[in-house]
Amino acid sequence: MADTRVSQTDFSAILTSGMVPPENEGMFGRDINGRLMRLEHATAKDFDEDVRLKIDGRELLVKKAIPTKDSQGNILQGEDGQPIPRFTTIYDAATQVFVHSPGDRHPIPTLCHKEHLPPVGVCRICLVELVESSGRGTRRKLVPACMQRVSDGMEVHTIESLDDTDAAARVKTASGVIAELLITDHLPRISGNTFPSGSEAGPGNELAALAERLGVSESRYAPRSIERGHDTSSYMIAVDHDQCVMCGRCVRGCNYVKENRVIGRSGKGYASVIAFDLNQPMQESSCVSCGECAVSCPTGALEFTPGFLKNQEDRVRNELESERKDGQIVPPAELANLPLFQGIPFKFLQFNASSVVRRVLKGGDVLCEEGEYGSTAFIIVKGSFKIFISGSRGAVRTQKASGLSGFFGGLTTMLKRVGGSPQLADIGAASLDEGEVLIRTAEDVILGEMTCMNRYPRSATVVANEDAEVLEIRRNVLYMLQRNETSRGILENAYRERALVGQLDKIPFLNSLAEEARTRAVDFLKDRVDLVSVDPGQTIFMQGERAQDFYVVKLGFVKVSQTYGMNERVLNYLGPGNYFGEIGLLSASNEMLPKDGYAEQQIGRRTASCSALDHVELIRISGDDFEELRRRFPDLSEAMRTTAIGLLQRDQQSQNRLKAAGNQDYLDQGLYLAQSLLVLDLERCTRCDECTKACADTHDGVTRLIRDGLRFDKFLVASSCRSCMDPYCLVGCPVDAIHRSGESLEIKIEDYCIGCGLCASNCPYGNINMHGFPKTEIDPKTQKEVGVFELVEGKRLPVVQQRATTCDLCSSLDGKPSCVYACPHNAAFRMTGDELLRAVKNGATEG
Amino acid sequence: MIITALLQRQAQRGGYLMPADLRAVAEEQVVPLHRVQSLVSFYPHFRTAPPPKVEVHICRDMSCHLRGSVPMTQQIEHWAEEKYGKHVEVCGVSCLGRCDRAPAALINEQLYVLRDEGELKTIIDSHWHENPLAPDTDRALAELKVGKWEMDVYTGTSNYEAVRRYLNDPKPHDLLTSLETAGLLGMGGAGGRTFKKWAEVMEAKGTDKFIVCNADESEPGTFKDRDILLATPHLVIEGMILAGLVVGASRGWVYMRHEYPEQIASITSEIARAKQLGVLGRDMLGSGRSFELAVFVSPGNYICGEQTALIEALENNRAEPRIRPPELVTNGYQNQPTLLNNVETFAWVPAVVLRSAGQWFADQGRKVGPWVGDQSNSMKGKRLFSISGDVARPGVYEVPTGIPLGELIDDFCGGMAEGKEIVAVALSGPSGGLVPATIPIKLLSRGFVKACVPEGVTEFKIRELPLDINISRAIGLMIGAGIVVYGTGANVIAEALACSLFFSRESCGKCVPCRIGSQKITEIGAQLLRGELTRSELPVIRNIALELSQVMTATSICGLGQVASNPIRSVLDYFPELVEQACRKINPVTHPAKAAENHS
Repeated sequence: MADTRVSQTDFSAILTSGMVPPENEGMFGRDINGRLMRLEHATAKDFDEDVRLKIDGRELLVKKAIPTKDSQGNILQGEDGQPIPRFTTIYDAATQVFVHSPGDRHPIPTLCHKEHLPPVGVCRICLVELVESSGRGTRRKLVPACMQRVSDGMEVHTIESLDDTDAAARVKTASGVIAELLITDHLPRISGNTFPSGSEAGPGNELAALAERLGVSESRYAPRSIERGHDTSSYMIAVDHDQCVMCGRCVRGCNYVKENRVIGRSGKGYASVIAFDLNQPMQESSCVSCGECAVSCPTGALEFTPGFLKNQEDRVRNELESERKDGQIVPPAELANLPLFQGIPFKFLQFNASSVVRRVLKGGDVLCEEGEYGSTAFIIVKGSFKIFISGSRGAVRTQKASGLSGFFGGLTTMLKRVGGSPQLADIGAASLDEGEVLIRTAEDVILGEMTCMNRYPRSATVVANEDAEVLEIRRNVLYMLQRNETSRGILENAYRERALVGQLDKIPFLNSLAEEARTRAVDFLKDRVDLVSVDPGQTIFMQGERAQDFYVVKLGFVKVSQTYGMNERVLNYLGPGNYFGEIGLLSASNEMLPKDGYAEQQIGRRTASCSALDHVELIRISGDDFEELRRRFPDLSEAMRTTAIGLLQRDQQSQNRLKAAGNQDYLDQGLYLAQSLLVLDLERCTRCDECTKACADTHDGVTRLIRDGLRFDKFLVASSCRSCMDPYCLVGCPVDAIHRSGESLEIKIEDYCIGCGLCASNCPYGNINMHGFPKTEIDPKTQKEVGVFELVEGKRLPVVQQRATTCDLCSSLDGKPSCVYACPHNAAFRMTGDELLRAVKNGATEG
Repeated sequence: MIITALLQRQAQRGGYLMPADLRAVAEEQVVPLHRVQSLVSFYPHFRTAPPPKVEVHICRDMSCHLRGSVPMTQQIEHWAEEKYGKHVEVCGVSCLGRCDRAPAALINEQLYVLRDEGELKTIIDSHWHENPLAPDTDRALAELKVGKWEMDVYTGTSNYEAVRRYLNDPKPHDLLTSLETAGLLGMGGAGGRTFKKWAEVMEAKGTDKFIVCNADESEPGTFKDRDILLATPHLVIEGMILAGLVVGASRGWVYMRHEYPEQIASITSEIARAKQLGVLGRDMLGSGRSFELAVFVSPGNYICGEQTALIEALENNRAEPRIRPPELVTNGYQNQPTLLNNVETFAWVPAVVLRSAGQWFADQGRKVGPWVGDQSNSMKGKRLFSISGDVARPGVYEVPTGIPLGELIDDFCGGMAEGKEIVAVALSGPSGGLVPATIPIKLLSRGFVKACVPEGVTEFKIRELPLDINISRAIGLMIGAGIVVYGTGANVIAEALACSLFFSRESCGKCVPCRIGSQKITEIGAQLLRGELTRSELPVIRNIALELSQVMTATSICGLGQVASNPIRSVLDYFPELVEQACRKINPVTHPAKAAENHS
């Protein structure tokens, strides 16, 4: 205790006399009349309710509630298809006002709070002073900004408040004392009473950086009195309990972000620790080694082991070399300095040290080609790129929905090229005519992100226009970028800008307008439309709801269905370029009448439900703007009305004609998405199982197909990877070991799969299996893969590692997958979902 | 019901849980393994290793500490290990609530009052030979109180008159008015107005409402509920039933510490009796109203007495206090409006209601006296104090609110123990720290001094402190239900350190200022006691401690963290001479440089 630093901060304004604790009631728990307010969940109307408050003297206006987001920044929707509101906190409000781009300094430091996790308010670092003035005088209190909701008239002071420097001093002293307590016990000392600065402790240690920011570099308190131990059982993650600050970020990461539910807290008080299952060593617990806990950890308590990191990097380096790809791995420390990556946990960059590759291109070099199945996106560092479609290979093409009828009419728009203007998913769902060229530069930030996220084939060819440089990132990095509010903001803005501005005139629903009118319509719409993303399966609106907005599909497919009694009947699938929602709006303004087939009691209500089939992006036009648009452009209005009447009549007819049952499995089981089903003709199949054996023979003795599954008429769809158009299995892989690459269909699982099993549980059809394989590593001397062994009771045994396996559409002698080739009865086929349906209709296979 | 399931399995297994038990419970309750682990490792009542043949838990807090229980524990531990090896386990535990018979111990969960080490050894031997000596009981003490307190309007036998009257003519607002007239305050420590809390729960909207009685009396020095639960269980149950009827609750729990087996039995049988009388359960007295009550036995931990932590425990979580708002009255058990009161608060309700609609209660209380100022009208009613330490007759006493501390000691407790003078008083268990017999006026609250202290007065005698929560708060002192008096010969720094240790051991660990702060402030006290600080270091240390204490008070989530620094801080504030003396005791062998400085 040689240190003599002593604060002179006067706490008398927030503490009552002597040792009597402050009033035993939360502040702002009562309304202006002193009545307690019951804290219910936020409701949709809170989205529109204004709250005025002051932070550091700055007046601001925020909404009482904001949409709840998941760990990826996606807005969560309730069963009604509407965003789930949550109350705005002081921290949220400060973010809105003070943080605009990555690296902007937030006036409120945090440790246990991360925007993608539900707040717990345990570290007390994010303290702010709250001032409440009422008729009874002024009250002041320190509250955690991460949890305290905003309320009208609130006055807040952070450590940086210039408006009330006494308050700022109290906040800073309090946060500083807490940071000092934390470093005393949990930051390894350099020597004696010297602690590492933020940069000395390394970018992964938020505690050191926090202490530095709060001006705390020494401790006046006695060192830690107990050891909480180490856990080095895992090859991948080292646990140092002494560095753990019990912020609970790993606990929330494990339970809430990944839903693995392995990590919790054990023990009580000063001796409490994080624990795996029943406080077992990590390796012996049910931990799947997904890495989320280490990525979440703000200290050195959970760190990736150097051996693991090196091995991951070596593998990628080898892969780059063996595939003769040019490019250079960008080290985590360098990435951490780029503005876009500022909000990304350093340990994530370490964990994925090889997920970002720098590619330098000369003018004319091809970055990616139309039709390729990519799994990466490109962040433009410098230079410009030309984007065009070759015309010979099609991406997803669209057709007007209005001309279609019949049960699966909509599907053909998805699976087949039928003309029209292609939507370029990768560059903001812009549409592009053949021969047209778009130019993109660093201002556009990113290219190819939709292929990376939505897993459609690349929709255009991208060629460097001059000397250029990009960072090629994998999907997991893109996901992580989306977790951070500001990085996400940059990406979203770039996307929105490209997707809307300058592209509105390509929207097919304006086609009925003459050129000049069209320009005026676009002008009118420009600042009025917004872009909405909808996750697969989420409802956009429900049949019977009051009609509010009008939508145009920009990307993905929307299912239109109606309910009759207990049955749901699919009316249509709407692809890019199609619009919906107009019927309810038209009827609301008496443009649609009962004689048009519109039931009277439905006036102003939705006649069908719409939901997203895959990742859908919509242009939304509010009902009022839609009304105004129709008023200004009567031609458009009339064209729409005619189409709508046609649609209603079609619905009426199909309702009488079609029976939805029977083929429900086809939809429910997602077969319409399948690009390569293994179909067995049961009339020819003798159940000899040669297909299964062939599969096992080709894949180290482990079969990747099971000769059982759904039946359609005489056809059996075997349990084998279907190479879905939009494979769910690719979502969320923490190391991006599962992807689709090149021009081929197959889902590939790389050797560096860490065996977490996420893809296997993601696959709705049970077609990915986990198997144990002898573990291999790159030998640093020979640069070759060698087996890993461990000594168990004196015996040298191979280390077994779990890895995911799935059908890789292996090629046999004649180019067919082994299973098909091996069938002695010509009973096995590979076909698309569409082909299967046709086969069922015709009673025969085509191939 | 994970906690209940674990307790059942522990009983079946013979006093401990095996990993297989934990896995089975996780599976049955469909929760992750870590959830079960988090509970088993948090609550002291769970064991994961077979219990020894004889388990000796000796209280180490306040009065027991004052009687030397800690060195006694060390000696007995040593003796038992030599004699019985691992088969006899001796350890210190937090306050057992038998401060009036200090030192006390639980041996194989049976209560023994210890006179000396020799007696303790005999008791342990008797347990070893499976022929245990007869344990002491709480009943013996409580019997003397039956029908003696004015609180018990029924003088011992109750037919639930207040509930009958209410059901016959239900007027919730009249009942609330009685509580308001009476000025009944919460007896748990915070001293909120009872009628207000009841009214708030009544007005709060919810799909259901609940009543909880906090009978988890674990505050060191506090043992009044222990006697109430035995002597007048009918008052507690009646108070809870009335609360349930007034606020519209469907059910309630009496949350009880497991170290109170006699009280658990007493309340359980009183609930059964009330049901038999028809004043509890379905369709009470044919009124169509229903209210259910049950006992919830706590798996341990002082923090469970914190109201939100208690609700967390009821909900099968780690008893970690919630961040407020919201308050329990709107968002309590299962997020529904919940009325939680202390045992004594509920127990006063029948008397308040039946005796002139609250007026009788309001007329009680000492309205005049020194230091009262203009607050004389706010001192209403009577209340029960637990008093222990160096007084002649420690125990539970029902006294008028506002009588001076000296009167409680002299007239009720028979004065100080022979040959002792007051050296220090803990006015609210360990929570308010230790205060000396006389306090310089300059250390009292400035507002109070300005308003109530005559010119020229420089000292405040603690004997003159009116025992009223609001007045003492105005003065700048905390007053609770448990008072411990330290007499001549007590080592004030050692006693304060024991109090500080209590908080650091009982911190749940949820928030940083309490989890780490309580350790560091205790360490400062320990350094002082060990004689490791020099006089020149003292001003700096004093400021470091003051700053830490203020931050802990201002930023901790719950009351525990807010008061955890008080014992050490009170020593630094109120006992400057003792602190100076401690600095002169530096050991020249271990700290030669410091010792040299002190002598220079």
